[in-house]
Amino acid sequence: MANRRNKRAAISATLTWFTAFVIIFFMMILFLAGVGVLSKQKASSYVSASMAGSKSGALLDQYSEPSGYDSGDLELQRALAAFLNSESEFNGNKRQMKDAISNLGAEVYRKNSVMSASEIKGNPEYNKIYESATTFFDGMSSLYWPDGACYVLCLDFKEKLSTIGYEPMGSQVIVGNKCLYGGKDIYSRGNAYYRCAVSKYGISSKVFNYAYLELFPDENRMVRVRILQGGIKPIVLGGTA
Amino acid sequence: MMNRRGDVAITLLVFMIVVLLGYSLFSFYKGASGVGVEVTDSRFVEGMYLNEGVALFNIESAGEKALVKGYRETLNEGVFRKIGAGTANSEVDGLMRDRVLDALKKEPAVGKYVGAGDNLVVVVNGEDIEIDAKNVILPTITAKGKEEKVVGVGVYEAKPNITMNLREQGLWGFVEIVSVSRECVKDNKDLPGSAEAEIERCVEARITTFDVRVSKEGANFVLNFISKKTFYLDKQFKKVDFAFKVGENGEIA
Repeated sequence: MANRRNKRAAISATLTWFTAFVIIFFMMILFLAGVGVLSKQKASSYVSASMAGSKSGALLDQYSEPSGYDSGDLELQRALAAFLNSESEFNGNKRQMKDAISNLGAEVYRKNSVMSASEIKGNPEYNKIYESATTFFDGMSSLYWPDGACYVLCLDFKEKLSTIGYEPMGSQVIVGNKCLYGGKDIYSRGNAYYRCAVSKYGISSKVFNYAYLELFPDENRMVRVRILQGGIKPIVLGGTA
Repeated sequence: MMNRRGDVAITLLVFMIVVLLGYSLFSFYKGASGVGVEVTDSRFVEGMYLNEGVALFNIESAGEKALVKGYRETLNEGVFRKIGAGTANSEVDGLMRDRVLDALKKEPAVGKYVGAGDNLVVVVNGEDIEIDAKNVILPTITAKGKEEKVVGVGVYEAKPNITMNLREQGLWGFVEIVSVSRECVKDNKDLPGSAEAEIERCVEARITTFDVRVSKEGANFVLNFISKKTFYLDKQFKKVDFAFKVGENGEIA
């Protein structure tokens, strides 16, 4: 009798533990599925490092402008912001450079095209902007590029013709000194922009830094201020490259 | 009895496992939202910082414009009369905050980078103004020849916090303007023949961002303020100017 009773108890206990095992196993499967779903969500928020392209591939910003995207670009962007926030005296009144440039754009928007060389040189505001930009960026260039430097500051005028975005109206070079590379004067040949320099002369992306900032004179217009700065031998830590 | 004890133990075990697994899943879920981005190509990170720099510059510039526009709107609402009538400083701050926020929402740069105005918080505390923007939309970065990837909120979130000061922007706090004007009028009103000039000198010495002209109109002194700084608003360079009357006993008319 005792043996029979023990067997029943053993069967009962085994059945109970078996049920518990099934429940726990089922919970484990649910847990793994849950973790899988969560990890997929997490992975989708990562940005694949491979999208940056190969070593020789250039990154493009939203305007398809190639850029080296290095710390020199950040440095240049900060310098550009400092320049735009700086004040100069225009006819006895202090004005911020970004306001003066926005106002220069008003003439372009009035004409609906960029100014000719003679028109822009005859513009009193332009002369002051030119003078201030030259002083500011000459100083900066000589600091970073002692063996020869160049920079080009240009404005892209854009107009909002639809809700999608801004349409380009034209670009105006504000300041540009000679960009010499391999004996070729890049700026004089009308190639103020990095992409031209790269495609026509095969210049290494390490040579130039590029940055831009935007100004909004009114709700439908945008002026993008771009600067390209570079030289032949940039300063690196411990000496020149 | 033994079987019942066994049931209780197993039930407890199952229950504890359910709690443990539930808690684990919950913590995974919560942790997923705070995970940083792993990017091995530093150029990508630099690119994000550059785009952030553009967005921050624009929001800051928009904030400066909105500050001046909000200041002018607050002036148009007769802020000096309100202060003269005993309106609390916090109410003056609230009035200015609402006007700055309204102006900020209309700025095109804000529309481009911040989107809905709900993402903006403006705090005015006397002469200090703080603008917080969240969910800033950063420009996208694309890889040459690769599929475009949108990098925005959740991956790298820029949270600009811009602090500005009225004096640094070439303006001055309303409460302080009233207080200084009252004191200068009280101290100089009885000077024979030179009261206006002395009040001018007194106010300009303390409110340094404005040129002041004072004239007498009956029993009141009219104080005209013109900002020294020129602001670019509505495609024109303008100075901020306003005037109010101060009675001989310091009442604002």
